[in-house]
Amino acid sequence: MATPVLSTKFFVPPQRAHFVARSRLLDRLTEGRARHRKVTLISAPAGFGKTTILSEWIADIASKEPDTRIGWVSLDEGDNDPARFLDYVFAALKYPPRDGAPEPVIAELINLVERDSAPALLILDDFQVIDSVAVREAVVSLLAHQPAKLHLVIASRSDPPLPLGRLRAAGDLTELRAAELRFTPEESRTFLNEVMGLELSAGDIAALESRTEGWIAGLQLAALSMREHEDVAGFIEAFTGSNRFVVDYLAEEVLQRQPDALRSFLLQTAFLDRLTASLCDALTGRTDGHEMLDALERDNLFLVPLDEQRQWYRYHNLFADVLRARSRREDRDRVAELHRLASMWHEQHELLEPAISYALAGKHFERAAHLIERSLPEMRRRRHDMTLLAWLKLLPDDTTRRLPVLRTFSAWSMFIAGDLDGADRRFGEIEESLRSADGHDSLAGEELSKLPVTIAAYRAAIAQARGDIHATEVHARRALELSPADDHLGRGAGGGLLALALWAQGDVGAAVPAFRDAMSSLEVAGHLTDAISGTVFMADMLAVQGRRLAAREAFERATVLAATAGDGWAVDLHPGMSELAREEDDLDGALARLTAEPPSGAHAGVPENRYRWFVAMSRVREAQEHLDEAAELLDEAERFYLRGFFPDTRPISAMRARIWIKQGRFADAVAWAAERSVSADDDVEYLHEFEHVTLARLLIARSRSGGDGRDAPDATDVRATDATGATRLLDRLLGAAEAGGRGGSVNEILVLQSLALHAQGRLLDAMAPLRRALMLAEPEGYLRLFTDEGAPMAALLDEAGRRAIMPDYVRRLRRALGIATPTVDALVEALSDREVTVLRLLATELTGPQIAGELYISVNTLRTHTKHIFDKLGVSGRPAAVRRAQEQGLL
Amino acid sequence: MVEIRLDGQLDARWADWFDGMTLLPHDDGTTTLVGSVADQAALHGLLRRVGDLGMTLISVNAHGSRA
Repeated sequence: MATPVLSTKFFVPPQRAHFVARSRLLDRLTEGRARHRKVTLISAPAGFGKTTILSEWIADIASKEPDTRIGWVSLDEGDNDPARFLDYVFAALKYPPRDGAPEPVIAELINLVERDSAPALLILDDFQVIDSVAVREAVVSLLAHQPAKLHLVIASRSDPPLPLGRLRAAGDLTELRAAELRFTPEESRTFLNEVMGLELSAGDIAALESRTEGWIAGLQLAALSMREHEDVAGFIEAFTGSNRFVVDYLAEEVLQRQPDALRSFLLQTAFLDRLTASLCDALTGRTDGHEMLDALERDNLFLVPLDEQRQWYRYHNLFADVLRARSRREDRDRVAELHRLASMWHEQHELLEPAISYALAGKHFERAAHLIERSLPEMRRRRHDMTLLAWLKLLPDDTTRRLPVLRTFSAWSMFIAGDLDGADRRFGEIEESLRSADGHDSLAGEELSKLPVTIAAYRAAIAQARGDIHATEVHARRALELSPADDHLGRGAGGGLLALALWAQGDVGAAVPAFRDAMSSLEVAGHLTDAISGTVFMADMLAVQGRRLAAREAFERATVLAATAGDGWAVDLHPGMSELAREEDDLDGALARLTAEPPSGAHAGVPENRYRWFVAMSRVREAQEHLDEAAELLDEAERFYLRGFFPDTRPISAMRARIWIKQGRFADAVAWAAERSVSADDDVEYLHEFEHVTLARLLIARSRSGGDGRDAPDATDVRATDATGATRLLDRLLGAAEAGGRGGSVNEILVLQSLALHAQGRLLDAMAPLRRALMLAEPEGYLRLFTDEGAPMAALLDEAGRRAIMPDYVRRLRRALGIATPTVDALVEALSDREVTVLRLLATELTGPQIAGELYISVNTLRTHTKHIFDKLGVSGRPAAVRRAQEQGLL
Repeated sequence: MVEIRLDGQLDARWADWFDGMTLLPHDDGTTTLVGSVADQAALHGLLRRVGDLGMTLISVNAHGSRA
């Protein structure tokens, strides 16, 4: 069942056949737009003709600029759900629908407008109904990035909570307020005498004008009353002499003058937001709905058409308020019954949302609960969660007791609100009620049959949030076992959670294929954006496995998916892609990924990205040797840290300790280890692997440094203890990492093993782990894994070069280290005899052509030789080449 | 307890519309709405109804509780 976007919501109200032309207002509006002001605000209480002047203006624009894209949204209370609000905005502007979090959807909207050749106009009418912060933020964010081509028009009964002062100060705002909107004496005259056909004297008009203060609704009601009055002069005298509130006085007057049938029709249909003949018939029990609506429109009785075909109408807001007040006063029980009838009519016409609203407004909670349950799948798919939650809040708890499908959603809402215990308890109850003989009232169908899977998946998610890895795995496996092959969503959710549990246990080898299956299930289920978000974590796991190329591929695929999902989604991929570029020593590229987006660490579907952005930035700054700044960025990351669904395999505090170690701040690093109770004798388990590796780094660095203010006599012993302690810890870590299939960890541990042995002066022994690390890392394109280790690694690579271990790769690493000084052996091997001859001549005073002459070769051939020599020596000019050759004892 | 003063005289029949507030018309052509409101949200709702009817709000006074 669909809850379709109601097209009546973006129908531009037609101009009345007879109306007061208000060129003074029209000119102001036209001028504001011509001056490229970004926003037009029409702010005045009900009955000042806001919508009327707007529709006149829009009709004018539409006739003069047929290409301009015009989107009109008549807002109602339901639009406080940002997803729903944006759905309507897209539909009104005739852009294809978008699902997803507000931020990327707005980015997409801005892009669509910018790509359009024609200008666009977005009108938000009745903005006063918006009180949700989320929708307000969506509009503020649209204002902040508003393309010049888009003009935004807001009509509201009260000033909208938007940065109006700033817009005013910047000259970006055109305003029409009550003072400008009220009828001038001349407009009052035109209206009363020409539009309404009354023949009033100047004195009568002045009296009415003064009594209503130019309030248009008041004048309109007065005119309607007078039209039926025989004694117009008497009416004016009584009205202007009365102190009664204008609407109270006049609405009664107008109502009293209607035939009984019409009056009772008005009172029975007053509470409807939108009216159509058959709906009215369902409420009145009569068949004259059509005639009644025709009569109301003909008589100008505050009926506003909502479509071209004159099928749907609404009452003018002010008149509706008066009618509703009166009908409630007259027969409250009848009003409740009318709500039930309206709810039933909408249900029969498959309009579930209004059916639910009327049921709730009339306090028919059982009925509302059943309808809400039916609307669930479609509402969830469209991510109208806030609407669902608002409905649920209005339902007494016991009305959902026998509706497990609805109750599952309410348990989920407890879960996301952070009430883990309450949610888990409720899920347990629902599982029990599904098993019990007493049964339940949920309709049989897909939702119900999927329920056991859904609940198992949620319970896995709760266990995950509680950090209970075992329970996560149990529930997730159950979800997978229970879900049939074609339940892609169930398989995606269960499989994803199972993968996370496996990951948290360090079994990345099993986690990756499980997660991959889960992602493709989600993709098949149409949850594209989840598939994109999932990539971020998939890439994390692949990095742990040391499969950088596969991680790159996953990102590339996700980038394509993100483009399909719409602009803005790619932002989630950037921190991970930055880290990939960083490892390849492409620091500019790594930085560009991060600075392409707003610096606050925006995110689309992965809230964790707020902090991951700062982590990635810190990693880049660290690689650029800006260590203090890198540490500060980690402080920022910590502020935005979110536990999320994903295991915290790289704690920020440990990353900070690594920076301290680089800075030689060993005491701080030791304090960190103490605080986190990380010691070299711990059992090694994956969730603490990063911390243990950090500790090994601390021990190695300290053993190398000559102590941390310790007494000189013991220093040598302590240094030796540190280094051997590191080696022992690393041996154990290596075993665990290998068993868990964590190739990335294996690489780092091997590198550290070689560094630990080097620190002990065991250069030859260090070659074995280094050789293994080089062999494993080369095909995956690692660079920074080695080069981040600085001078000790340079010495190790020196030795590796001498031994012709992975010569190409070692040469590349040395070049990246900026110490491209091949060893003599390697150089002799590398330079041809001819090149050595040329090199010797380069060391003389001879010019290029003279050298060429000496060797009987052309200058061009000489250039080729020198170019090869420069490349092999890693230099860019003749003097540097000579110097390098001398350093190496070649000359 | 809140007192909301409005321009124009409003018949007591409107009390129900204003969530059971008492309406006191004054000789000077103004009306006072008197009653208690549950909380801030209720007070804002009440003020919105005043605005929706296009009535002119003169003053709002809250006594005693911080409603």
